[in-house]
Amino acid sequence: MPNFILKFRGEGPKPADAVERIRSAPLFRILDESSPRMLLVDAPEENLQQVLESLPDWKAYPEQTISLEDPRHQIKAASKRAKV
Amino acid sequence: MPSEQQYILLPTRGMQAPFAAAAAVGGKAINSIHSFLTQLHPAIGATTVTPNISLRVLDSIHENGAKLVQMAPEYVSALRAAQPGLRLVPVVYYRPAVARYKIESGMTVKSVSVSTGVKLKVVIGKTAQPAAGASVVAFTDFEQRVGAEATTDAKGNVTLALASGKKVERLYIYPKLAAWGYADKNVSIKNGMTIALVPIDLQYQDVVRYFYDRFHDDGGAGIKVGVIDTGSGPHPDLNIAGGANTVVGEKPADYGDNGEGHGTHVAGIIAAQHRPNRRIRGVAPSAELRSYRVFAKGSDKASNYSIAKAIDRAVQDGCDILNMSLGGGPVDEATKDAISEAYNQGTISICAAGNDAANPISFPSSDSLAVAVTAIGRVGTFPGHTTSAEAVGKPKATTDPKLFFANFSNYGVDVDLTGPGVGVISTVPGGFGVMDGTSMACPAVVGMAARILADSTLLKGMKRDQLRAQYMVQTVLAGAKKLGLGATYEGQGALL
Repeated sequence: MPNFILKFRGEGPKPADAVERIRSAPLFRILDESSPRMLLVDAPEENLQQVLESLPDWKAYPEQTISLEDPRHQIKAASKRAKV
Repeated sequence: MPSEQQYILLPTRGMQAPFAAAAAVGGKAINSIHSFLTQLHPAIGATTVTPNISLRVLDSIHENGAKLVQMAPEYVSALRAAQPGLRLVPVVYYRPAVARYKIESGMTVKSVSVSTGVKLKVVIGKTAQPAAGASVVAFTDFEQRVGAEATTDAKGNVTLALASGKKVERLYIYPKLAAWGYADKNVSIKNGMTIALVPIDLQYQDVVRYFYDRFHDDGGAGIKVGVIDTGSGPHPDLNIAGGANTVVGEKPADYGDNGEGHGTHVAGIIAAQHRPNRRIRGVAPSAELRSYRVFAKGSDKASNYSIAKAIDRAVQDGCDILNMSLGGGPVDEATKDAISEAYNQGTISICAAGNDAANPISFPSSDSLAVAVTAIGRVGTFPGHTTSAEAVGKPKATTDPKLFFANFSNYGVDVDLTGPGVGVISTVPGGFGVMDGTSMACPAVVGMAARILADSTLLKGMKRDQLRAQYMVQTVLAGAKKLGLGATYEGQGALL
């Protein structure tokens, strides 16, 4: 299952009751809740949509990765060789 | 007359700009996004011309809402500088997603038996100190990126999976510290060969020192800079005031370097301390540095969750400027949203344009609220046969024939500024290292931005909101000088 970022878009920090509703949703696992206004959850996308319908102040984003800006040249394929 | 393109001009958030009166800060007029879009509303069908921009308004969604305009791409940078916070989105046309089979250009790899790999030794300078942990990359076919790579051991030895005597089209060595990167072409690699790297001389005038040596140590005082990277320090020449590690599963207080060295190098360019008998120091040594580690130990990928959390934390910590020398991949709404929220709370994000030698620039630098930085270099600020010497590209500056656009740097209409990023000496764990990249140009610009903003008495009294961010971006961009590279390479120019 992919991870999703859930962000509280209302005023102030994320409300505890909403966090508990998310925690108790089927197949939801909160991976991180240390941010004042965000959660990182592991959940099936269809369940996520269902939960968000009842939490209009929350928005979901899929977790993605971003790289370092590294200009070093890298090998994409090994040279023609075997049995070294 | 250059070919024109259509753009949608949008408020910072949403489709309509909330009312905000135009303001004057220190005698400098700051036109609010609301005023700007409202002024364009009656101009539908007409061409609006200012001293720097000529655009034709084609349509308007609402009086204070989005506008469809047509203009030459070179005006994009000037419009962004005149109206920070305004989102400029090129008009794009989607096609049906028809699946078609395509020929993939494949590569046939035939096995060739060799009895052993080729052993090399990498040392630093005449003292022959072993270069431990250096990455050695040998391309037998550079265009296809085919070859072998390995890392030197504690004695500087490395074995490449190539036959001895094999002709290598390009050979690159990237040391961890103490030496310049090595680059050579058409090398016949032989077993037992020793390669000596050029050692770093801390009195050497690299490209950052070439431009910024003249400044005093008090630059940047009162400005807080958050470095969102692989973690920064500890290093004897860096004062890291605080920060956070936002990687899930790691200790929040462990915001030092993850071992990669990138974040420590970036931090040193901004604010390394001046020490006796050393030329190496940051551009703004008195700026307050904070480190936000978003890359896990041993990883070169950062989650957008870690990045969004780091941006949020840095804003809470009162950072004025965020340095983001990271990027690539598709536009990510979570990071975009975090940059927008930071902006609305008076914190600006300065981002590296990317190192793919490509147009357009990478995300998040391409975000309309981010300040995007490309890289330049200057001949004479790095030794020959180094990776830095290989980065000499085009165009050349009209103001200085030795100044060039780095051949690895991305470019495009969203570029805001350029900065020195070829052959930069800075702090790394355990000493000093040289790196090339828009990753290095970005903190050089951040350092200068900190110096410029530290001189603004008006900024200190401003409420932390969108107007403050707008004022900061305008003030920084107004300090740029054109180098004659062209707007798609330098945006408004360089902060020199």
